Amino acid sequence: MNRLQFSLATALGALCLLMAGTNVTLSSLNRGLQGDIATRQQYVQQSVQLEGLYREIIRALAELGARNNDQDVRALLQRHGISYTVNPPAAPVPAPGARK
Amino acid sequence: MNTVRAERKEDTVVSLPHAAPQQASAAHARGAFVPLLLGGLALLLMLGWQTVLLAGERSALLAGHASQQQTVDNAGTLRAQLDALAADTQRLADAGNPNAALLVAELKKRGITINPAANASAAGASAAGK
Repeated sequence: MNRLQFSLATALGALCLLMAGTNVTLSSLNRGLQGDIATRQQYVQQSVQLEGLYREIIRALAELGARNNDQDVRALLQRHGISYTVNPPAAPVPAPGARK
Repeated sequence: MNTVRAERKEDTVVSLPHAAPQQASAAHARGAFVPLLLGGLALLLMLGWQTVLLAGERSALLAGHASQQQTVDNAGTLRAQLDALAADTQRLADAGNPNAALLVAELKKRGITINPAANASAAGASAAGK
């Protein structure tokens, strides 16, 4: 092996080593990123479940506040940007044969 | 049999002095460079291809991570709103409001407890947990 061939083989080996190191690093980084994405996905899925709970709490508070005319509950909901209106009770339907 | 062996042996003995120096010199001229070069190039090709694949995978993962951001932000906002509402409801119940107390009791029956202190200390942490 002459001097040129030795230099060429050494450069090739160094390049292979460099690329192997790059691959190991990239692989490790990708694994970390995959874990991060999975964690965030789990966080979002749990939040979807909590959204249902949030709506239920709001509905329950609004119903209780409206039924019992609770101003504290109404104020609590308003502080969180939620307002509700109470529908007036429906007028009784007159009997079909009733006269004025 | 002995005759054949003798002939072969004799052939070998006769041919060796002429052929051996030529083969040895040819092997010495080629050396290990070409096989080494081929192996190195194959390894380099394989590693290069793997690098390209890994870089593509990383690019896709980064894009996925970025596209998740808006959803994660929305989820965080929702959790903060839920925590704040749950904590206020608990405080109202502690202050003696019967409607808030009824709601807190119903939540407790379902295994949901509210910790307003935890909500106050860590805004992002969940105050309502199953």
